[in-house]
Amino acid sequence: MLSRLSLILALLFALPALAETVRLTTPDGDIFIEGKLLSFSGELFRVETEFGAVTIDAGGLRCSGEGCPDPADLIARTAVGGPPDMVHRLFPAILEAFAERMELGAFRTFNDDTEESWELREAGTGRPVAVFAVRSMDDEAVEPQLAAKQITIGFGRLEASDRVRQDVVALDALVPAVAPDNPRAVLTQSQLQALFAGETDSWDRLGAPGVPVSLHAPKDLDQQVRRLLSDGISTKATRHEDLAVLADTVAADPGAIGLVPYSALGNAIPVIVSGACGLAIPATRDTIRAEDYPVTHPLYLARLGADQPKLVRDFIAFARSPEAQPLVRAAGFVDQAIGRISFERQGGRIANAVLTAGDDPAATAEVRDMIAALLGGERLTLTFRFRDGSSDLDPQSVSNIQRLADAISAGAFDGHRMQFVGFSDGVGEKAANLRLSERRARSVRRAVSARVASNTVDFEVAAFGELMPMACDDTPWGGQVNRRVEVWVNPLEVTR
Amino acid sequence: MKKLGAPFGRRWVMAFATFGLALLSGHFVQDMAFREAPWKETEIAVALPVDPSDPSELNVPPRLTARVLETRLERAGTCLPNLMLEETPNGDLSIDLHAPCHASTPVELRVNSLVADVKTDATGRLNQRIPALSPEVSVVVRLGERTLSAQMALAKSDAQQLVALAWSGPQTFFIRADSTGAGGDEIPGAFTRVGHGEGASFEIFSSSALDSLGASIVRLSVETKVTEENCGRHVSTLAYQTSYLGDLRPTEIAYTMPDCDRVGDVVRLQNLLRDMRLALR
Repeated sequence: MLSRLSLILALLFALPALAETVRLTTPDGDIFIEGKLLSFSGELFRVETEFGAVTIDAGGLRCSGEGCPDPADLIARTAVGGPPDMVHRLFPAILEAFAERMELGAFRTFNDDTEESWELREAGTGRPVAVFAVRSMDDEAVEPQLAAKQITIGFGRLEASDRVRQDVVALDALVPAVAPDNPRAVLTQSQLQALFAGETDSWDRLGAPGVPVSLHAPKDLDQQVRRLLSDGISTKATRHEDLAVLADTVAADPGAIGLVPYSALGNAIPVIVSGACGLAIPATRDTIRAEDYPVTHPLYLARLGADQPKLVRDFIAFARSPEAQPLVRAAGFVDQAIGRISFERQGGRIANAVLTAGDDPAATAEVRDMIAALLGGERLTLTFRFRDGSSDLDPQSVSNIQRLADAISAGAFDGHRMQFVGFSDGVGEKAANLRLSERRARSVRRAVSARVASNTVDFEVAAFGELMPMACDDTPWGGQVNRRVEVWVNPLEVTR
Repeated sequence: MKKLGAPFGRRWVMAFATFGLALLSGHFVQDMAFREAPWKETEIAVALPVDPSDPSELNVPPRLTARVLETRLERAGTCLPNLMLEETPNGDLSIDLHAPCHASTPVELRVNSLVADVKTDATGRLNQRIPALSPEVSVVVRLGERTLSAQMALAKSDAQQLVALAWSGPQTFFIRADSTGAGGDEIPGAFTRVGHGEGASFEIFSSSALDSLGASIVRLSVETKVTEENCGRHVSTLAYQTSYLGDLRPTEIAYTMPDCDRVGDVVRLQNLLRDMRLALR
């Protein structure tokens, strides 16, 4: 009994020392709470008010009163890491726009080519509210640095393990490129393979002026290189760590051919690669967004969990949002904004389907059915594709499920009929390919439908198997490009 | 703010000498003539021919939009400093300060947020041409205690892209520009430096699709040379670049120079400035 009394007395005397009065005010000064500060975690205030204990996020709040923590502790601090092009080019573009939206000033301090910091300050008072310390590092270092809590936001091209949360924030693609004065605009897959295997040593063997071939490739990105050239590349190729130097070396040398990320092309000119069947897909913003270009890859924003200040969480949400997509594009990367390609702009591949059908009446009827289903519609640039040898969606397509569901929920396709149109490669039996393409289309429709908040769009499924290939199946990447679910929309009033 | 003279021809000056506003904000041109008879207007706009020697301009009647200004100009005599802005045919901004009673006088020239310490010549003139920093450019000139300010809309402000460095004292950092694969060793643009090496200075690099020798991308970097004076020291400079939101924004370069055993080395910072994209691929 005595010990309990002494405990109560001790608490009564201790409380005034621990709990001093604070007043927390929102940045606009409209709302405040006042009370005894019970705790401050660096992110959350816990305050005993006349209405009871309240826990409130410290983000942006102004604290006044004797109990306030050190002002430096109120600044949201985060460390950002990733490859130079993403942390010094993509990240600043998104952060500047985020600051503008939050009505904060963004001030950049540049230390050297690997380190810079961004301070976000309140517009009126100049009070710092957040500091982003940015450091460039290899792609491989991002996940270990996240795990070691050396950084809290990571950017990169590598898919991380399950312990890391990753979102696709932009797209890029590996593109064969030459100098502006190299006349070759198209190469076949076998010509490209021979060049990078070191078997073609002079351009005159490819009908271009006879200068020696020099090969260039990025130091990393082996995964992407192997998707384009399954045999890899010759040891004669110069590997470049700096992507801008890679592009500039290629652009300056008429004999050079390099594998260059689309986002870093600079003044180098992309070469179109065709298969033996003659189909070719140039690397453009639209073909990369639609993943029709074969060596498209996502750029990720990664973090471990949600134990970050609110302002940092808000930044991550902004980076993932459609609002950030124009900034992605302005920074030279490919955005994920959902574009539309009209039926008329797809004449080439429709014509190819007609030619492939030839004189076979059954095949001609199928093509006619397909044209009837798609005529007057628009294809969305967002497409669903599958991992190599698998029926699982690839990472970009997983991200597309939510992106499409969000757009539908936001009313972007109100009053439209939406068709999920399945296609397959041409390997194997035709009827089986048709069934497979239909199954894939249905599964994508189900996945999208499950994530749509309130649907005002008519969903339909169609499948045409191997009827309209986009690439030749004989290339290592052709089959993957062909196995796809396209999304087509038609305004309801013009629907049959 | 009411603006007068909106319909002026392209080759006409639109110089908004905001004397009245300056009076209210304490930035008044303190000539005795003005003090004796302060006027009531809050703003006066004056338009003068760009180039009176150009015969095509002579047919255009002069537009003195406020008679009261004319009167004051006469009373102030030749000592009244005069600031005129003009958009040149290629879209640059021409700044012309005439301060007849301030020959060889230090002047602080502020164009938007860029500041340079310069001097009038022996006749009290200062003429400076700089690339268009923004669609609406603001120029403030401080002549001792006096301040003149003017604003002007530039019709061709998007013709060029630019970056700038601003510093105080001797120049430490230099802009480097390359258009690889297009122009050989030629520089794909123009440099404009304002300031005389002491006090504040700034340098602008500007480029257009025309300058870039056909290249769509101009690579930009910043260089600094390690010298006996700066080795091992902490140096700082402001770099200005157009943000993704379209305005010119400063970045502080806070750089610790390499140690003195590397005197003579040149350090190139590649990631500070974004490349210029001059044409759509």
